[in-house]
Order: sequence, then structure tokens, then C-alpha cells
Amino acid sequence: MDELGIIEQGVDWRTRLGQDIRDCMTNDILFSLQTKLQSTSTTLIDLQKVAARIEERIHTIASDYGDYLRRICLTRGDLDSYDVFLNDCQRQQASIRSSILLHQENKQGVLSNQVALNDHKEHSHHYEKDMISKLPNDLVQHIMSFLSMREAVRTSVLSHWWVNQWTFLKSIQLNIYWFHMDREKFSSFLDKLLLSRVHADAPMDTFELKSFAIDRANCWINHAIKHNAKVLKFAEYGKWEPFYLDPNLVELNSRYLETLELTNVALDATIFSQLANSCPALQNMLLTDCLLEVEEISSSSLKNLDIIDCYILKDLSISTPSLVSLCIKNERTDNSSFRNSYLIFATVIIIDASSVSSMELLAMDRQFTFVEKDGGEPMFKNLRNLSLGLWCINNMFSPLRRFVRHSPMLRMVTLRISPLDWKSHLTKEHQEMLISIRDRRGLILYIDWY
Amino acid sequence: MAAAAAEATIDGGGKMIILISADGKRFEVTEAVASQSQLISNMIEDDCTENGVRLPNVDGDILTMVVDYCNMHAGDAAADGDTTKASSTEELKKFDAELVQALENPVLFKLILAANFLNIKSLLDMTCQRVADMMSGKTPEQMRETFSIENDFTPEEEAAIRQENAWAFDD
Repeated sequence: MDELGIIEQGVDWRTRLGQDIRDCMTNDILFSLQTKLQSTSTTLIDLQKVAARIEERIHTIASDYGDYLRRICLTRGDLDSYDVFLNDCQRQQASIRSSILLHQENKQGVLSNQVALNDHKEHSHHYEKDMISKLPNDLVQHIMSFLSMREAVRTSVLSHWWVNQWTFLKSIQLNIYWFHMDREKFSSFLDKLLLSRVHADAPMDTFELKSFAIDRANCWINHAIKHNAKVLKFAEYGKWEPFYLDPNLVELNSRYLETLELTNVALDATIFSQLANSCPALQNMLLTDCLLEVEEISSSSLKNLDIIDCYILKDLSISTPSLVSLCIKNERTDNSSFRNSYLIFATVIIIDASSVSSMELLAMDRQFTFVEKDGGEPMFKNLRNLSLGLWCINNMFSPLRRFVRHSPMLRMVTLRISPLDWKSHLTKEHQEMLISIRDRRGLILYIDWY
Repeated sequence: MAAAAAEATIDGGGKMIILISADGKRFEVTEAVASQSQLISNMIEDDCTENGVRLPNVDGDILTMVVDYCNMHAGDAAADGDTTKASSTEELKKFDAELVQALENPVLFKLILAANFLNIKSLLDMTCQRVADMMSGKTPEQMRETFSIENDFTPEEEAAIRQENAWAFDD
């Protein structure tokens, strides 16, 4: 525990465990011991101490409150007979069977025992009216996790106790829009927040940042990775240059990272170079509006890869044997983007995507291909849905035919083509070829006009 | 014959377990019902529920609610493809909504503590969500009032904290 009062998970249960409960457990153990000894002499041994030691030992080794109770229960094991236990609880009850109250009957019992109930409350809980500020920290965190970040921060003015509660949230989401694009304020706020979290050793789950032209964001992103964030989302302001994710400052190396989403980010050729080895839990990657100088995306854990409206500046090879869904597409309808200078004809080469079941390859400005396996084995063993763009009509649908040939499970093919392209590029022969591809394999063919 | 046997298993739900509240109330439930508590589920695995499970920090009135909740949700995990489940899902939602809406402050927090202690995730999420809903959209003053939180700031201190996180307070 540190001066901020934050208690790490797994340690805190002991400080929360009241002496009354411990005494109660010790007495239970004592009772079991006494029962075992029954009528034989109890003067030879101080059962009180034995019980206290048993309790103390379990208290020390138990990992949490539940484990503590479970272990106590195990030590008692067959020591006590049912009757004894019952006597301990309700001495006035004579027979076991008649004392087992079903909860329907028990509702009446609640009323008749009201006095005893109240006694107990006063004795063990000391509840005052403000109960929320007396909850254990992890429960307050849990409640706050259902609030938006802004709402959580607003709790800071409730009382002294609440001032820093929100800073320990497992999920941090911050948007520079909330700071009216004031980069100074945003930056110093984040520095302070992350520093206080370091001091408190607060665990991180999700780190989601919308920034605007702040280089230090590299350090914040790296901080999130180093603090075991599972979900990392970073977006640079859309009207600003792509944020340079600096490989010297950001090390994509985490056993915990599961989801990586980047928007308007420039990805250096080396940034993903260690991905295959250094992020073994990475399952989802979404790149939107990014500049890709990356030449290879290689990961054996990646399940979903989405590359939307990105500029692929070099030929990109994809080697992802666990991938289930691959989507590379341009959704931007107009080409008036001020980043047209990045338009370049690059090829995406699929080296391994043997598990993929759904694939959308819809970008106009590039070609997609794949490397055939040795021995002519089908490349896309599990592919069921395939969506392709205009690029696949070349040479009488030769690319489409090649994909179909390597996809034995394929059921549905979608062609996303504009009516204008259809008119200007597709001859009657093309259409006949398309129908013959469809009929030969019994595919469902869908033309998606846009 | 077979039908009767099947019915017996559903009705019986296997072994019975006795839960004992802090104030000594006893609740008899099936293992299936009780296993929704991860704590008790672990105990069942370790075979140490023979003598009843003492819950020294759950009062009888709270445990009544927990047991009601678990009885309602016992079918949840099992029998997915069952068509009769569709209507009961609606019923469950209604039951949950009514349960959580009706709770007064102190009871709600005791239920949270019980759900946390017994490790019943769905109940914990539902009750914590309810508290969050009660906080959401409120000014700090309204939040204090809702939860009887004493404002122990001087006006200067409060102004300073507001200033520090001003972005969260403007709308």
C-alpha cells in the first residue's frame, strides 16, 4: 500500500477482513477441534492457540477472501459433524431436518429475527448513510467503469475521499476535443495523470487517446504498452498530419496487448518488425487513415486485420496463419483528400492466411495477390466470403478465377464496382465469363454498386 | 419412464446445499443454483459444502435476494437451444430490472458487497451499473445528495479542484 491508499489487487483482502470475522472463523475451528477431542481431556493442549495458529496460517497463505474461507472450510473438513455445526449456529434448534428453512419460509423468519439482525449490523458494519465512499476501492472502480470518463472525473469534487478515485480507472479514454483542442492543457493533464498512476501502481486495461500534434503521445502510448494495456487505441486529429509513431520511443512489445487501433498514424518500416515475437496475444488490428511504410505484417495470433482508407506506400506482405477476417478497403468516396500525394500503386501479397473465412479486398489503387503453397494445396482452405474490387477484372477475371480456384469452401463472391466502371470496363465477354465462374462452382454472386 | 427420469433431474437439480447467513438464516438451494457464485462453485469442487456454507458477512435479508436472483438465473447457462427459453429471457430481464430498480440505497450497496464476496459477476455488474446510472447525468451536488456524501471541502478547495479538471465540468 502506498500513501495514496491504493491497494493492489490480491493484497487488499487482508486489510479489509475485520477482526470479528477472523475471530468467528477461529472459533469455528476451535469448535471443530473441541468436538474431535470430545470428552477426552482438553487440558493437555491449548486448543485456543491451535485454532488461532491454524487461522493465522491460512490467513497468511490465502490468495483472497474466498480462498481464505475455502481453506478454512477444508481444514475443518470432516472434523465437525453436521450436528455440531448446527448447534454452533442455532443452539435452540434440536433437530437438523426441522431447522432447514427453505428461503420461502425464511422470509417470515426475517421479520421475527429483526432484532437480532439489527444487533448484528451495528456490531459488525458501522454503516452510516454514505455507503458509497466506504466501498472497497476495486468496487468503486468497477462502478466508475460504467461511467464515461468525464462523468468519472466529475466525482473528484464530491469530497476529499473522491479527489483521486477516478485517476485509478482501468480504462483511460481522453479526447483533446474535450479540452477545446488546447494542447498545452491536454498534455500537462496527461503527464500528471500518468505520473500519479505510476505512483499508485494502478493497473491499466484500456488506453484510448485522441490527440492533436503532440509528440509526447509516443511516450504515453509506450506507457500504456509498458503498463500492460490490453486495448490500445490512438487517433491523431483528422485534419492534421499523420502522427509519427516513433520506433525509438514506442516498443510494441507486450504479452498483454490484444487490440491495437491506430487512426491517422504513420507507420515506419520497422515499427511492426518484431510483432510476430513480441506481441503474442495480439488478436485485433485496425488501421484507419494510416500511412503504411511497413513491408510486412506477420503475426501468428492475429485474428482480425482491418486496413481501412490507408495509404500503402510499399508492397506489403501479410503472413498471419490464424487470421479469420481480412479487410483492406477504401471507403472514402471522393478523391479530394489532401493526401492524394500518397497515392501509389503498391501490391498486397498474402503469404499465409490459411484460416481466413472472410476476406474483403476492395481498394482501387492497388493489386492483391497471394503466394501459392507448394504442391498446389489450396491457399484459402476456409474462405467462405470474398469481396473484390475492380482490380479483379483484369485479363478476363484472371485474379478472381485464381482466388476461386484456391478457395474450396467459397460460397459467396461480392464484386464492388461502380456503374460507370461496369459500363466502361466490362464487355459482354466479361459478363459471360462471370456467369460461367458462378455456375461452375455454384457460387452466390452479388454485385455491389457504389 | 425416460420422461419421468428427466423431470426428476430437472426438479432435483442434483445435490442440495445449505447457505447460512451472518444472522444464522439457512437457505437450501441446488448445486446448480449455488454454483452461480464462483466462491461456492469452488467450494463445491473442493467438496467442502457438506456442513453448509457460512457466509459471515451476508445478512439474511440480502441473502434472500441473492438466492432469489440465483434461482431465477439458474437456467441461464444451460439449455441454449431450448425454444421455451425465448420468453423466459424476457421474463428474466423484467425480473432483473424490477429487482434493481426497487432497491433503496443501503440495500443496493449491501447487495453489491454480497455479489462481490460471493463472486457472482452478473449480479455485481447489474448492481454496479445501477449505481453508475444513479450518478450519471448528475451535478456533483446532486450526486452528494443521492448518496449522502458529505462535502468536506472548503469553498476554495472545491473551486481549485474544479479548476484543475475544468474540461470535465463544462458542457
